Amino acid sequence: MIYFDLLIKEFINLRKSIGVVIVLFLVPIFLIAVMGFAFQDNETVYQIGFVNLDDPNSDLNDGILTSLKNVSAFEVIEYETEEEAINNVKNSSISGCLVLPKGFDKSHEDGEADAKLIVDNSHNVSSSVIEGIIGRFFEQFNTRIMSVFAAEMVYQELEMGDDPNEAIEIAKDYVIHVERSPIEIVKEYIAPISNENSMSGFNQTTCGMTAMFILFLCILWGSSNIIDEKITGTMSRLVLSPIHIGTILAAKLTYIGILSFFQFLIFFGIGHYVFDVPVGNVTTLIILNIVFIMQASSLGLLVSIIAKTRISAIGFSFFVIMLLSPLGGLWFPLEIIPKVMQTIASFLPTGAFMLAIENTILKGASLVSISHQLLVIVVYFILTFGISLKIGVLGKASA
Amino acid sequence: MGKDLLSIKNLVKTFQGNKVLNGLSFKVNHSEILGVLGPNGAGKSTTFSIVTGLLRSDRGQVEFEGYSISSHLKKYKKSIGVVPQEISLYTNMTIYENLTFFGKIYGVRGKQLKEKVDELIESIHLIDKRNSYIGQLSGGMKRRVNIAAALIHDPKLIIMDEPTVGIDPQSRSLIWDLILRLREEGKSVIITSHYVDEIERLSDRVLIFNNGEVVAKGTVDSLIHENCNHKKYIVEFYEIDQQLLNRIKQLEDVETIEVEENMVKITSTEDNKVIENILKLSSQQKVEIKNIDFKKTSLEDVFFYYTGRGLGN
Repeated sequence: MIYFDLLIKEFINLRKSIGVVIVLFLVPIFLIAVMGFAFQDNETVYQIGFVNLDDPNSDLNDGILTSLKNVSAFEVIEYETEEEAINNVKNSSISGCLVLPKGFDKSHEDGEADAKLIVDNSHNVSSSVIEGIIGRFFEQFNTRIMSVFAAEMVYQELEMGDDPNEAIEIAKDYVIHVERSPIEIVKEYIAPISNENSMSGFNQTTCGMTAMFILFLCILWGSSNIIDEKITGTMSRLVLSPIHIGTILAAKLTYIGILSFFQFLIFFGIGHYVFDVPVGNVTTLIILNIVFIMQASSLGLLVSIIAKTRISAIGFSFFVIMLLSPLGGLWFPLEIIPKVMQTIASFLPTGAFMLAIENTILKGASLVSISHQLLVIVVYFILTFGISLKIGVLGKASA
Repeated sequence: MGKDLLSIKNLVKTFQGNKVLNGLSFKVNHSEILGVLGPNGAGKSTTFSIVTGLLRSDRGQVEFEGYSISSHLKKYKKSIGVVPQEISLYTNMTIYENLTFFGKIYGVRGKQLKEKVDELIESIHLIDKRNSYIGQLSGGMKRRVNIAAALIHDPKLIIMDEPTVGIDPQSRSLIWDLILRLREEGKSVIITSHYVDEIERLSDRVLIFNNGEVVAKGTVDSLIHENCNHKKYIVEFYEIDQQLLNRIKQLEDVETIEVEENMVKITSTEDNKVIENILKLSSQQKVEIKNIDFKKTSLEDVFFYYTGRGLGN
């Protein structure tokens, strides 16, 4: 009987450690759902731009657009100018863009037309897929065009009543000796440095792990630090003093922030000098990280206020980190997950951070160009810090 | 200088429909040690949370030297020192570092801070331990530093919650001396304790809280004198009989009754009549009495009289 009393006592005590329950049971379920959804085998539809700078009434140009729209992997968006399309590729609204230049149809008649394919090579998975699909698309298109050209050649060379075998020879000769495809793709990459610089390998890992360990330091260590002060009563002493609560919290955040900033410097220093991770716009990179650290520290503060015990603070911290890491693309590039999850990620502080840091290190983005992502992170900071101030840092915590 | 240092009027505080303070009022004079007694749930903690500025009352006023603390909270916080029941110190910092830090957050700086820290370390008899970490100190030493941390900014009013709980007699005696010295220096102290001897020894006046109100106040002597007509008798039986106990409880002269095994503690305003009646009843019930004792009224008895509970319950 005593054995059962002891056993029941353990379960009764578990009520006080709800954080542990969350970590042990809810987080794995959540991770299974998120990771499963992220890597399921559904066909991805890429948004691709189309710009026709040539004759809008051309049958060829119209035929290319119609055929392109029939490719199931593409959702085609038409643009008036090449610049507009490139901007949308740059800000990741579309995955790539096909441009038919002025005189395209006329050049095609001479068998020398060039179509321009613009892709963002920083997204190396999607850019490779698009290059492959477009290449195959024009291969099929060229086959059709060349059959027409061969027929034309035969028509020009032969007269009615000639030997049909001669016609076949003429067609064969054309196809064998033609110097180039009627339409060829000229590829253009918008990442400024090289095709090697994409969010893969060390680039993704350095950014993702920096963000994740900033979360660990700010949320786990930050919340434990405050909980410890609540348990020992020193936080009560501070609150009883004439210092404003905002000053107490700001000092805490700064302390955690400085440690996290060193963490960022070390991670990126090693990433850059040992693994050739680009840093892009250094000013933007530093400010982005400072804003992210402020937000993460503030989240730690909120966890410390919600959690009553050290163990529940650890539980809550793990829950938040395990929630934000995969959803924000810290473990794998965002481009490989479904569009809906990419959209969710862009509204999370981690997702916004990854999108912004990608633009910063690969494209040298300025603060203005990542202002949308910065805004998302700042909104989270204001919300979490504001709630913390409103609730107040005290409250009885117990070991 | 007015007479009242701290004036608390008609405090009302309700938590989730439960009225914790019910129009509580009291005053603290200059250079006075005010002892506060009350059973658990009497409203002591809530009152101190309000008096220290941590909590706002639903109704009522707290005035310090004539001004409302809520409208001058920062100024008020500089004037008070709070000694929490827990050892609220940084264990990874030394005594000197702790006191210096707490001095700084109250705006004490430079030479003045250094002198004050040295003075306090001397007054708590820990000069040779000044560079020891808090975690390395004994319980009594920690308690002394805990008090010193509340005195670093020279407050006019010190609020102490169980300042000597669980410590050795030597540290206790040192803390008592320190508290008495504070009064000599013109400071006022509010002290709560479950040790009745501590309150009797230190307090100029005593307040007894119960159910969110001050149910008794005065000097220790006056409280005992006012209640000395409540005699306490202890009747010990060889084996108590439930039927006899029920009949004793029904006696008119019995005001309160406490039963501990075979011992019955009774308070009564009648001198010996109650004992006569108990002797009669025990004779009728044929229950033998082992011993009858009469106890002089103490502060603990006064507390029990007003709250129906013993100190520490």
